[in-house]
Amino acid sequence: MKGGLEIIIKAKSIVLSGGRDSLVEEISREEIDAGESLVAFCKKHGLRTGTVNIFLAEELVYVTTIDLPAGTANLGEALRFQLGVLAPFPEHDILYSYTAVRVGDSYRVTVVAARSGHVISLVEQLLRAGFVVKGLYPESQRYVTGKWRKLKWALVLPGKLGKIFVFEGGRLSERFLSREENLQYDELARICDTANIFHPDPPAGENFRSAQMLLAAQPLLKDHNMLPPSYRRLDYLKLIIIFLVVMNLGGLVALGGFKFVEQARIIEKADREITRLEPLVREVKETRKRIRQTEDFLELVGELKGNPQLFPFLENLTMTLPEGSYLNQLQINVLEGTAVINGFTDNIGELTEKLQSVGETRLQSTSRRKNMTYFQVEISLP
Amino acid sequence: MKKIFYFFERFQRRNLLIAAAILLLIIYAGQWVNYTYAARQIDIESRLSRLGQYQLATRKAEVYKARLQQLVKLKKQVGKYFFTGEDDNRLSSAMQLKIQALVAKAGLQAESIRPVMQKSEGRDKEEGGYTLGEVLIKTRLAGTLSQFSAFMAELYRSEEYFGIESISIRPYRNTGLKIFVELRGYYVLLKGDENPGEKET
Repeated sequence: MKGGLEIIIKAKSIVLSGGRDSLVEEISREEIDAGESLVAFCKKHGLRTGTVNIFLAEELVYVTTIDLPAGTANLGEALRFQLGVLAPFPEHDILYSYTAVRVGDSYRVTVVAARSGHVISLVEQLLRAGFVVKGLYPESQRYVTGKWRKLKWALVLPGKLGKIFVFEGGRLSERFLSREENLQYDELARICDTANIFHPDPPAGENFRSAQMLLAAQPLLKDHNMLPPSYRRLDYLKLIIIFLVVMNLGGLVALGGFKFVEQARIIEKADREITRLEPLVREVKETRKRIRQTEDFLELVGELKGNPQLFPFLENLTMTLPEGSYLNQLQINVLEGTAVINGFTDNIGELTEKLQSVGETRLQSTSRRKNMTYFQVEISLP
Repeated sequence: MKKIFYFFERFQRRNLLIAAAILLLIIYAGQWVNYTYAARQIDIESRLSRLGQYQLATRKAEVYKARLQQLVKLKKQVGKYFFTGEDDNRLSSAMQLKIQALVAKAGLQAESIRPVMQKSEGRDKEEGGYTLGEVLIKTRLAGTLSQFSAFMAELYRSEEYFGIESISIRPYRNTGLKIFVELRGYYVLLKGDENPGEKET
């Protein structure tokens, strides 16, 4: 069922309502216990909900508006002290609620009040029957829904004394009383400064909208809850949300803190290890440098060529020279790997032929003098 | 500004403004925390990378030490074949003296022994690397063939290495020889701060 249970307390009766007036039953206040009546109502209609909102008929509610200075430190405290003056009820027998709107340099405070004696006994009956009372509101709050939150609209509740409520969105801004039985739409539209005027039973021929339209949606019930705190149910959802938010934020902060601490720990550990290893690394670098230098030196040494075997060469040359051949000069160039011999011979052909066995031989020059052949021969060193 | 305040008062949006401010503050704080965390994370990765390199380097420290000891030992063995010192001119002089001694020992007459060119080769000179210097020594000698043979034998036996570049022999008078020998001597130039234990001179 959409809407839950509602009880409207009137002067001499109470109206039990389920599903936003889809189920309605009116009973006399003097005869029956409200709790038992509601149990029977639920049983009769198969309702299983255990929570109920209570509304006070507007003829039981006193509404007044006062202006308080903007500098007022605690509005609730200030109102409590003036309550005896503000409401026509004894201070010990009063239920009240208020809303405040900042207007210029002051607060416009709307106070709603009712006698507690009319209500508390009924609330206790409901509590005894096992119901949870969510709130106690003026009847006009039944019609305040989210659909008209951003518009100005009015509600007419007829009776011995007609009541006109003007709302700015979801908040009551003005309340008029009228002794007129037949309230004229045009007149009301002018007074209320809005064309959106709702009426529970719109007279034919007038432009009133049906208040049933408002009852189709869930009531906001944000303002004017007069139920004393001792009777209010704890808002577990709110508590749970606050708890979850705090837990999540705390967890987030703790997680972040843990991460940062962990980072700091890693940095400290790494720094300590780096400081410990730095001398060793310097030593290793120096060692590697010396290794490279020593290797370079050994490589240089390795590139040096050894001296050629000159004695075997000279011995071979001496043994190979044919008879009648003589040397004047011997030049050995180790870098070029050559030996140049100068001399004379009586048989140049035999000489060059035999020198081939010593090494690769090239006859560079010959000349003939005094019946001898003077020669210059280049031989490759072995 | 007044209109803005009026708007928030008129429509009771003060809580909305506060909530938006808190939300923006949380977002800003979250961004700051995230940025700081990321920066620190990069810093950590950099440090860990550096630490990894250090650990890798130090893990091989013993291997490098062993390799260096081996090379130093080898260098000592090789270094015996070279003149070693800290001054080029002194080393050049020492080489001339050594050649002079060998010539004298072989019985040859040294007509002239002179260094004609000096150069040095080496890597990482600026960083303290070893330098292998060279001195070209031109000698003009006089003597017999057997004395020359003795000189060559002494030169080959010499502990210090001399590279023979060229030899020129021609007869002089009836039994003598004029001998020209170009030798290249090598030396290791030590730096002042080098470990004295490595000097072989």
